[in-house]
Amino acid sequence: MAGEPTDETKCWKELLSGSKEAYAAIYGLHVKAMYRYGMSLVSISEEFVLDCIHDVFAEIWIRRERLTVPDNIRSYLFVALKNRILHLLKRQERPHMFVPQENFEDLWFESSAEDILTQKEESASREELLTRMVARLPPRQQEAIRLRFVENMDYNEIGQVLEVNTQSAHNLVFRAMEKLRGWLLAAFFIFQSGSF
Amino acid sequence: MDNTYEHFGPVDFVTDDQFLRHRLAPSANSEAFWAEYLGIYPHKKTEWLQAGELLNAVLLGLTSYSRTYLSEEEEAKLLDRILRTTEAHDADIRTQEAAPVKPLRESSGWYLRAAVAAAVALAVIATGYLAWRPKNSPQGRYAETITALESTSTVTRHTNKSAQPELYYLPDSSSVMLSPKSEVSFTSAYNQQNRSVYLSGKATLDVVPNAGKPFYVYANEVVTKVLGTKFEVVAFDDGSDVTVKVLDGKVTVYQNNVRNNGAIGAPKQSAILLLPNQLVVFDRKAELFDKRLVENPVSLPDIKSLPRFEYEDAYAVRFFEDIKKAYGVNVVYNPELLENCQFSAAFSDESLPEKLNVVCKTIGASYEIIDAQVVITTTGCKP
Repeated sequence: MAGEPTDETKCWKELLSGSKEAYAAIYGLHVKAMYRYGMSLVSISEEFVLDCIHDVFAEIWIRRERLTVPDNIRSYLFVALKNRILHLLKRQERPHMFVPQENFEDLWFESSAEDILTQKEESASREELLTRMVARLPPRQQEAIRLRFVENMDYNEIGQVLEVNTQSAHNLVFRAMEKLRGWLLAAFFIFQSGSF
Repeated sequence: MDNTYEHFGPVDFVTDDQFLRHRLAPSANSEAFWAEYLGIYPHKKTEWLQAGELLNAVLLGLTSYSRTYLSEEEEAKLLDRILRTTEAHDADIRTQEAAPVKPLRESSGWYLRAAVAAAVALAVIATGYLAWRPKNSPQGRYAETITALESTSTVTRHTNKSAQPELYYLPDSSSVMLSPKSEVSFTSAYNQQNRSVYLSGKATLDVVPNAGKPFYVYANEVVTKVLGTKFEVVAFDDGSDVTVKVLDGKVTVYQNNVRNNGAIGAPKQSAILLLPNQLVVFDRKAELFDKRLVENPVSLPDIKSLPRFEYEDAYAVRFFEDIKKAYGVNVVYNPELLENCQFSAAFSDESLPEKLNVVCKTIGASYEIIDAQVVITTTGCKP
């Protein structure tokens, strides 16, 4: 959503007709967010993420004559990056970095506020506490709130990246926020440590 | 406005596109919209404000994500790399157009693979000469190797002609305590991708740790790959057995024979891992390694304390310790290099190699199974 969509679309069209400047401009507009997003998917291997971003952009250039203008460039690039990461991870003798969604969600047991707050003594700051709460959310919800609140994507775009419809994308964010609010309220009542 | 937000609670507001667009990227329009809205529906103000606080809370909880930052320098470097790739591709297209026959190319990353294939072919040619000569007598093997190396590159040779051991420094400050009548040599490629030295006689090597540039010692039929720091190699050209003894750190030892025709890459066959105070003797006649050490007794894992193999931003070291516990397999790694390596994954029925593949790929490491032990190779992770 950031930037002027019309300018960006124009830029993309120039890229498709072979402009290296437009290509570099598109790169400059999106690479930081792609890096952030890529790093959130495969946590620590920076080199791997950079390789994948490289491949995504190289492929765009190579296939430019056959590409069209995507509805939303940011989510198009996120999807391309995620696919590249998955493709490379799968080629490694089918590991299960990302197991099927249904099974994956099951692995996350429901956390109660007490679970999180039992470690409160150690939590020096509010940021730490909130980070821990976010980390307790199921991974898809975490991904959805990153896209919604940090990348400022709308639900349509989030749906594209997560391969669900707009309503489901909204539900993921909604459920995450309900849970966070519940935990924050519990934290407030249990410890009287200030309003959320 | 067609939506009155009449039944909206804080969570409804904080997940509303319109609300978020205003809070995350406010515009004059959005200011006006919400000012007007709160003017008309003053009783929704509490929920509206709570939504704002919730938003601040979740943003605080996502700080580590939003702080993940690609530096300008890295950004420029990556762009440069991408542009070089596209230029290589464009140049290749031009060549193809000029050529009478256009090969059909399907997959997108083909040029990368072609480049890799070319590099591999070069390596095989460069080392093939060494590897494919007939293995006649074990004697004179060092001389043969040096002659072969000299035909392709500049070789620096150093012989200890004195009667006492002599300390000799390699270009990277690794040191070689060279015994009398012993010689060490290396090519101009030393310390580029890796550090290879060739030895005849007896030497104790003290290697400067550098995970990015593995250190290899070629001594007659034996190749020693250094993971740790200090070890001794005895390999005289007189036909006697080759011994490698580890004084400190870890090394892997394997046979350098015709089958292993990649002198630079580490052959996987018959690799032996040596820990401090362990010793291996290579019988040159039988072509066998004799590892003079007692295997560490492996205790069976206690079912109750089996690890769950679920990790969230967990340290890789924890995973490797879990592997040790669950499989009774020793995992050899450098904890200092893995200090900053974290990852998230959840496993259920995956096999040991599958688990290792996932974790190693995630933290940018690789592993080898040597002598029933898992050896992790990594250059470390950025904090």
